[in-house]
Amino acid sequence: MQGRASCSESTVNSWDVSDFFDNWTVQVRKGLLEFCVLNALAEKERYGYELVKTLAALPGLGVTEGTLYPLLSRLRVQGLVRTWLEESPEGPARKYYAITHEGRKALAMMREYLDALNAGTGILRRKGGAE
Amino acid sequence: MITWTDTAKEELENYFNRIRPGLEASGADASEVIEDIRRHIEQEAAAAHLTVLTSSDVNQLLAKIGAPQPEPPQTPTQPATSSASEDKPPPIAPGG
Repeated sequence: MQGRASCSESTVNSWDVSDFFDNWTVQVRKGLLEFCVLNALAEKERYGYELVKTLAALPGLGVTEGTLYPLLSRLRVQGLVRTWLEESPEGPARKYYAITHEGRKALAMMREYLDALNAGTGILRRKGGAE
Repeated sequence: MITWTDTAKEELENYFNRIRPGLEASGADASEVIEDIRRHIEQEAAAAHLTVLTSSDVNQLLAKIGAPQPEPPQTPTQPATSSASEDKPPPIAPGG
């Protein structure tokens, strides 16, 4: 068994770990995008350009501006956000987004779920020993 | 007021034609997303104080905002398969 363990370890290099980590963060970020959008809108209504710029600048989220418009459209189709257009003196008309009652309900469920998940993973991390 | 050159308009429309199938398959309202991206580009151009938008400007802005969906390859490298069947979970064996 000793030889087997050392053989496995010898195949792992820093590139593999980096690759693994990149793939993992892609999955995590993908699942968190809707949560981030709903949180941003729970604070206040925002126009699309501002909302997209805010989320694209969020550290660690690693989302491009173009990726967010399909997501916002899906949230509108699902009834979690609502939109409207307002004329702007500074340029093209602004499309505003606001969270709906259903969106707030979904956000509350997501927050509760993530809190429970965080507590659960916290227990595992403590058992595994924090580094 | 921003003036679009003809090639800039053409560049953007070609881009929208390429991304539309992916948007439609994603569950988003493709026409809505296309208008959102068009509006975003106009706001970027206004923020940059551009008065004339060329195809080069459009390409730079599109590269900056990133593709909403992975664009399909120019030439298919493998037989097309139904995206609906790809989304289905694998069948669960009875009793498994």
